[in-house]
Amino acid sequence: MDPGLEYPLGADDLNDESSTRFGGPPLMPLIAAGDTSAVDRFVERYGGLIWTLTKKMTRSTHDAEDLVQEIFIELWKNAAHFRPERGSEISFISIIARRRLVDRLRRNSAQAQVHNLHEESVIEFSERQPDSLELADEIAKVRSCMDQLSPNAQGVLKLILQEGMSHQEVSTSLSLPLGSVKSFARRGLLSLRECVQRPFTAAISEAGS
Amino acid sequence: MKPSKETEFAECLAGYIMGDLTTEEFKEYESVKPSTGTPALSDLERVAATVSLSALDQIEAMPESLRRAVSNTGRAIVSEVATRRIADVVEVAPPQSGRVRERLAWIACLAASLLAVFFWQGSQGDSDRDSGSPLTRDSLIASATDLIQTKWSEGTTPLKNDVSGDIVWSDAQQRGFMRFVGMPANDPKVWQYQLWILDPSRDSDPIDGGVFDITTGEESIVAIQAKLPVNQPIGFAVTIEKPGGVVVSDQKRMPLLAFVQPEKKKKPAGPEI
Repeated sequence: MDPGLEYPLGADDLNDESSTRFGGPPLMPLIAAGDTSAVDRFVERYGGLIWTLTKKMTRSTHDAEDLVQEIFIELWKNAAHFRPERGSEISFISIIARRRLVDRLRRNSAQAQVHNLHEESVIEFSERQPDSLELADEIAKVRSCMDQLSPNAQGVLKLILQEGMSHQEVSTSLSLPLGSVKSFARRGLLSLRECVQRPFTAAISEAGS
Repeated sequence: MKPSKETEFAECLAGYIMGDLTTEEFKEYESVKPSTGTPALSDLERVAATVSLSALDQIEAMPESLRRAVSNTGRAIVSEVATRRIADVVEVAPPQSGRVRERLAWIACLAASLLAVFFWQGSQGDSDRDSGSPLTRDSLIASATDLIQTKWSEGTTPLKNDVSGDIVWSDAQQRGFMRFVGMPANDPKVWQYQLWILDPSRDSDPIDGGVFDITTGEESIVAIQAKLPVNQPIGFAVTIEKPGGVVVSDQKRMPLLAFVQPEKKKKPAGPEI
């Protein structure tokens, strides 16, 4: 194994969040209460995940390091907003991380917007689905639902959400008009949500048909 | 066929999460969104985040230096901020657009003040060399090849005393010190000083440089405790804050400023000829 790789993120790590490195009692409530000893444990548990996610979606190691620090600061400051009964800690972390990534993309974009996602400090999950799904199930379901999207929607969402590309970069990469990129991204995300909220078996049989 | 209002709103939510709303669309979103957010929005955000997570095949260990920096910053914030329940403060703060405006106003105020100091300093002589400083400050001055050294000037709300001194900083070493002479002592139970570092190359928000106390009106040396990496500071400001400091200053009391003149950056180290 590459010495730089800490551990694989696959079957063992994501299939049962309660018994893996990402599992254990949530640390956010301790951090929110001012328990500094939880900080190192939190960094130990999630540092690699945040680093890998950030590095994948930024263009340079320097950018990634800078962004990782921003993400962690956002996490420390928003620890009190985490509600274990509403969703897993790792989902909370990934949402905060994505907000910062989007903010950075927006800052770097010529079409800078007037708002920041991360200013939406409260994360509220709907009551319908998340607390009944483990992370690995969610990921499996999202992957399955992605497969059901049109090739263009899949390509656009992957480049934006997994590679950290701006809409303009996606437009160039896929030779699609910018307006089409936006449409594929928005409608693709809406379709994904609809698919994810359907019972897993229904989604699978739909994929099969 | 024109999409229904419901479809338009759903696409607006998706655009918000994807970060691609135009200014017009964002105004529309702001006008119709519930103040507490919507479950639909949260679900979309969660799905987007899961898509990002689903692309990770292997997790790479964070570089050790970064891990240390993150942990150090975390401990500082958690002990200083979380214990004061900053999250509660955030929740009752004005609406987000107001907070953004407040921050921009803070930056604008600081930048304007620094500009004034820049012009004032332009007509003054070179900064004096200090003596008798602690070894750590001396060692930084001696070793840094990118040393920034600049004198304090009056801020927007000057102190009654004449305060002199300077600030030294090295981007490479991420270390720096403030030196004050004549700075009034404070009662930490009532109020404290706080340093802010203006570094537009990094962020639009000033970087918290640490809360500190002054116990003597004679010379005091205070180490800078930057909460974030500093790349290219253009100025420093000292504010007076409540005990423990603040995350965003209302800049009502800003007694001291120091402007980094471009020609005073990157001063080579070594013996002067």
